Amino acid sequence: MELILGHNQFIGVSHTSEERGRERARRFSKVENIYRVVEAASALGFKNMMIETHPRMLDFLQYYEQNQTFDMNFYLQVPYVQAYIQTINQRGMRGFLSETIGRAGLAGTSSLALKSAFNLLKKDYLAIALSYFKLEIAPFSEFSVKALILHNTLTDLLMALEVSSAFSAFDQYVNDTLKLDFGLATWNFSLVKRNLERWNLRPAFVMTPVNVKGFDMNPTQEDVEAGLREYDGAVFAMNVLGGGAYSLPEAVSYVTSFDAVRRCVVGASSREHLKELVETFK
Amino acid sequence: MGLLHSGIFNQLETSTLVAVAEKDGLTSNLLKAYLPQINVYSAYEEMFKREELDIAAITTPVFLHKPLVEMALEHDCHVFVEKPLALDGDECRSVLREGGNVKTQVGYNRRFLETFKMAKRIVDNSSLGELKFLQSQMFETQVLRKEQGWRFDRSKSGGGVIIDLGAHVIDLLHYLVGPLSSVQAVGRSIYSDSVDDYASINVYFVDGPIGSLELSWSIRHYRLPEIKIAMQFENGSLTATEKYIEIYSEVDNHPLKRGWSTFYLQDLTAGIPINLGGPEYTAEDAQLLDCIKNDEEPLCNFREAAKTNFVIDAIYDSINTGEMQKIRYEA
Repeated sequence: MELILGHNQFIGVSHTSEERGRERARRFSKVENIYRVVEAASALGFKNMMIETHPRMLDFLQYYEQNQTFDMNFYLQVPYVQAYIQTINQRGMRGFLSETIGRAGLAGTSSLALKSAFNLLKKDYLAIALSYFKLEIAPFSEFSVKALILHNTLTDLLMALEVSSAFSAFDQYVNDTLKLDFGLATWNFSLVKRNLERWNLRPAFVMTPVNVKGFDMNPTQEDVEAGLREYDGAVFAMNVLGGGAYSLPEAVSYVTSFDAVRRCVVGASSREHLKELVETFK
Repeated sequence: MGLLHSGIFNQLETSTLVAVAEKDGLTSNLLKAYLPQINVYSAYEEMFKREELDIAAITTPVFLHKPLVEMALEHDCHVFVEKPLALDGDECRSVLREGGNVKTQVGYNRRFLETFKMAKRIVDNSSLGELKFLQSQMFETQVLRKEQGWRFDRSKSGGGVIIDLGAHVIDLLHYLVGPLSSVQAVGRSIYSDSVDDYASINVYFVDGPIGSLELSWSIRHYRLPEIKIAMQFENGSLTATEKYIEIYSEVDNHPLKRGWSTFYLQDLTAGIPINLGGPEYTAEDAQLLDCIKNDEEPLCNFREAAKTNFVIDAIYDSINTGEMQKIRYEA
């Protein structure tokens, strides 16, 4: 079982409490502190890290580039949904699109801005969405990115509304144009598995919660367990440790009982915690 | 929110999304292009006229809630409407007078989170004895400059942080403690022109307890909307948030043990049929469907949700007059 270092702890996210998230956000407001934890992870054998296109992660990558003492590959989760939702809520869909097209112009990618505006006129919304992805991942493209993962918020919404064409378009774009693996993150593994089978789609992997308490194993833990046993693709497990709320040996024993789970995304804020994780998974 | 509830209703066992009304041309074109299985209308009047809908889910800006709810009731639709029910108490009174023999649910979804449900059980069972006083707050980092959009236009939103975030906490105070007798409030616009960005409110409950409510969407380091309610009882204390509930008990009173206990949302929440953005959104929609099927009343029907608007009216009156205001709950 390969461990992938998660990034939630570095951007102030905690599954157990927002106070804890804020304490971490303070600690990792110094980008050097993020770098030291990732460096420690590398020394312990971690080769891959899961990140979102969050501004904090971009700060980290710039520091990594300037001070690099180790090699790390990145799984990039897109889009950065929270910022998108806030803009759409405040300015509407049209305001969001105008702002993003404007951003493309300001970022020096004026051809992308023009193309997006043209696609808007043609009502080619998938082409617009793919242009946004391109814009969002542009700053990360100089790093060793292994795969692009569709954020669970978008995966789950598109799955629930049964927009199959979006998944084939993303899959084709990521594989053929970006030459990267395409993965899906989801809180609804059973729905995703069912739709992938119906639509004959095979992403490189599906990333989903697999934990001893069954949290976010929807619709039920039993259903997801049965699905994991049947599924012939690769699964990356997330929310494995419940943000520290679950007993580590129990959590590890549970997640390693599924053959389909090839990799496990884990969060850690210190070298000691990383070491404990590595030893328990061994 | 419209897409989220559309996705949920489309996946729940006893409902299917059949039509959407969306005024914005860009969004409606997008829906037409990628959801060919549903009918997309640019005018809601047309949708109600042509479709035989069982349920209408209303997720528009607040000023459109009342006309849309009234139209849904005219067409005998069961209704889900996002919170708050309407712009103010008078609009709620008008909606309540419409009545109708249908089930209604307003999107006060925090009632469906297991942490607050556990708090409710502890209060109801008197496990910690009588409630003496409480502190409550809801904060989010959202408005740190002058923002645009309907939320910042009082005529369309009904107000600022008090009606937007505060409505959730006021609803939870009704759910956990009961009706309020009066409020005394101060509030201020900080970045916004015409709506409040900060408020501090003293609350007085009919049954005796007193407390405080502090609200802001202009506070730093709150990446998500976050509620905290800390309650002091005769024999202990309880702090409930979206993610955890922490209890201190001075007595052994099963299921509470003496001392500190902490329960996390992830320990308390079982699997749900579909999770788009949080289990609470699915739970409120699923409960409406169950209540339609079993002819029961949803947890937060129009009558229950209107109470929050009545309290918000009194809070704004108190800010404007500088005086304590009694709550007028009567419909």
